[in-house]
Amino acid sequence: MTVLTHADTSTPLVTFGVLYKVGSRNEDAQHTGFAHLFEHLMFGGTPNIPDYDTPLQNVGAENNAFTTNDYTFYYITLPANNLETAFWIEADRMNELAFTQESLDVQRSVVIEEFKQRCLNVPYGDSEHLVRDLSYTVHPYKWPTIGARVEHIANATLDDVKSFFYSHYAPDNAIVVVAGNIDEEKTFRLAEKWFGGISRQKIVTEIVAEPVQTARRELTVSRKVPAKKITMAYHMGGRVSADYYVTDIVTDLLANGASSRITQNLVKRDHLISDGNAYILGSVDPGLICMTATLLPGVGFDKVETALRNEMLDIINGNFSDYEIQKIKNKSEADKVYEEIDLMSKAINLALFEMIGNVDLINTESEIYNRVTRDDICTAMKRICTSENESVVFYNND
Amino acid sequence: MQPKVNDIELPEIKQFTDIELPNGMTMHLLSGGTQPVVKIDIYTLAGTTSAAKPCVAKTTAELLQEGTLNLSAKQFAEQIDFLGAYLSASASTNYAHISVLCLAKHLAQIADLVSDMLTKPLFGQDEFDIYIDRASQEFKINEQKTSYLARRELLSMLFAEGCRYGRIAHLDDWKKLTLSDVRDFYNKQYTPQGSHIFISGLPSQTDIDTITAAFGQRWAPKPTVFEHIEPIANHKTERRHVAHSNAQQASLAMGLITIKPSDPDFYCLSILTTLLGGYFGSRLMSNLREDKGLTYGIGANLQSNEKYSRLGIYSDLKPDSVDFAINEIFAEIKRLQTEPVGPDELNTLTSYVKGEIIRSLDNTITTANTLSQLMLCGFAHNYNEQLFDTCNTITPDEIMRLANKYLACDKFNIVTCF
Repeated sequence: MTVLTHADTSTPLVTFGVLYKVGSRNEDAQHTGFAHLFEHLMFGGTPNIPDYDTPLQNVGAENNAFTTNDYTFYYITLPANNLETAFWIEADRMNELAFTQESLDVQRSVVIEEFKQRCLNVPYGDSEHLVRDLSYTVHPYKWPTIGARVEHIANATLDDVKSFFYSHYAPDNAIVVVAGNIDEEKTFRLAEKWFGGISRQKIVTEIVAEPVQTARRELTVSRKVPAKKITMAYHMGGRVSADYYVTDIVTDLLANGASSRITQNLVKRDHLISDGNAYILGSVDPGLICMTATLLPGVGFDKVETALRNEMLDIINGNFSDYEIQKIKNKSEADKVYEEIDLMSKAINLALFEMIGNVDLINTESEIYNRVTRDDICTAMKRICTSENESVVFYNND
Repeated sequence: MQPKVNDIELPEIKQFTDIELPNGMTMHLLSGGTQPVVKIDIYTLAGTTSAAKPCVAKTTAELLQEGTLNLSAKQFAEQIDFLGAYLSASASTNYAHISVLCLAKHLAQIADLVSDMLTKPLFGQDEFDIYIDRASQEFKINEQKTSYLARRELLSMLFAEGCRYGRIAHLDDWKKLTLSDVRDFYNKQYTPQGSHIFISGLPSQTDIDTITAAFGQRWAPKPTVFEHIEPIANHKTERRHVAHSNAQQASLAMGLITIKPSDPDFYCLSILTTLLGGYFGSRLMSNLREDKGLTYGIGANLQSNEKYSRLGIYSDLKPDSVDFAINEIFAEIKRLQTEPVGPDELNTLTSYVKGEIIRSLDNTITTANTLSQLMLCGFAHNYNEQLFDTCNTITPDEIMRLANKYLACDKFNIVTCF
């Protein structure tokens, strides 16, 4: 198990985080949403500590967790003088869970209601499902962390739960981060004391690679929504590839801030859409770069698809100024500073950089952004944004 | 073995240094932090209740970002983005709020830009037309959300008919709005009288001088006579259903109007609300989520301003569980009114609240946000210390007394939407 510390004496608090390198990426296509359901079950108590939350609330702590496609992050923020309680309770549930049918039954219902609240009962709530399902054919990024379908959550069994725990929840698959008002040496001693005795599980992670896409894909759906929406997605490299930095800059050029190209050109100049965005998934395995737009009444999909493609063509053809690149680099330099204000965001970032293999990147990544050239951008985007590599979802309002 | 539980202590809370600016506005300064950033927050008495029509206050605040007399909307956006700053402008019930976060080294330029936007906005017809199209579309999308519809309906039921505090907008209001409405509202309401400016982070003395010139000198007072719009609570209570044609889940919103933050009972009421539905271990979460699995979440909270507080209970759940859930909510309230809270639960609750107070005061930017909200909403200057002390002194009897006094089940308005 890796332990990271970050001492900051300006705060009276500590954030204690545990990142398990397991997410929906580790699920199979018949049991989707399981990593996230399992995250809920991690709060169901252990043979040793039957109630997870109360001992933490008793020491003034707030705790929660979230699951992504690549990892699951559990965190506790508490007054620094009660730090050891966090070690005690997190080591205990890494060691063993209670696995009760009752807890599984309740959390299955809770997660099904969460699924409805996030995806089924809000306009465009299933957009992510559609884009992933169209873009990926076999890789588990084909579904979002909430799961492909409600039925998969309803069908989860206690045996599934047990085997998931023993296959993924172990010290050799975890990163512990302790950030805040701490004595670093003492913190490492506490880590040894509480986690040192938990045995390894020899984690095996085998994930099927997504084959190269060879033809354009499109999907049209009709839903009861007030406006049409289009999403265009292209396969790109993973989090540690050169693609990540280039596409991060490109999506900022397209859609970060009021001065960005999609806002200025499609919203304000051409009056085609009410809102647009461009983003990357930023996933560990090869991800997606996406452009999306909500159409104004009376505007057709073809017009907006062409307009978005033209924005991308301008990038491929180098029709952007050095000033614009400098603007994006300024923004990412500032963002790095803003991310250091909040304790929780520091803790999460430390764990994430360790997960992708190099915690020092947290301090040196700005240099990588600064080295990206105009040529790098044009070359990479020309390779990525081809018709064969494109998937388009037309979300219709009929 | 469980580690020793140490007492939770309240660290010394930093307070604003107040500086009177030449135009009469007060600057509240909180210096500190580990990062070279500065945040500026300006609040002016141009919230939704200051406007005679719906949509005017929101439109005026948001259009401030669309260009100045010196810079077009595009030029203005370019400059803000080039400096890596985050700028927003919005309107809430009482105040319009302009907020900007920037690197300290860019503060002088940012202060000039934001000062221009506040004192010399463009309010161009093209920008207005585009804004209205976007805002109408956003409004239509919101009207498809059960939670939005339920909360909006509840708000309108809590206040007497015609009272601006409970006024809700319709699509037609967006269509009827004109640029002159916006200009008139701006001319009348955007003035340093009654406004506050909060500065947090690490500004230098030169930066403070720049801010003083940008907002304390260049922003001239206007001969404004403010209308005093009083919130008038609706004394009828009822249950309403809002029909939604394709809901997959029901939204429930319940609420009542209650005491303002300056009331001596407020501290205990705040703790009582947390016990009912303000944390993961609350009565409502334990019952409806962790015991019965009926919902992903249910919460109770108090939203306060100088004149009143709004106690609300909100959840999303299966349509066929709604009546059962309402009964359970009332059963939990009755338990609070008739059974004293046990010592273990009381200890858990007050320890959690103490932790929340400390978390709300972590780092300079967060502390300034917390303290500014308290100040603008009429809380005592030592609210956090008082609430912390109340955690140590509150008794089960006091909680029962307040549950009877403030959570009468027949005083709740109830809305369901599905």
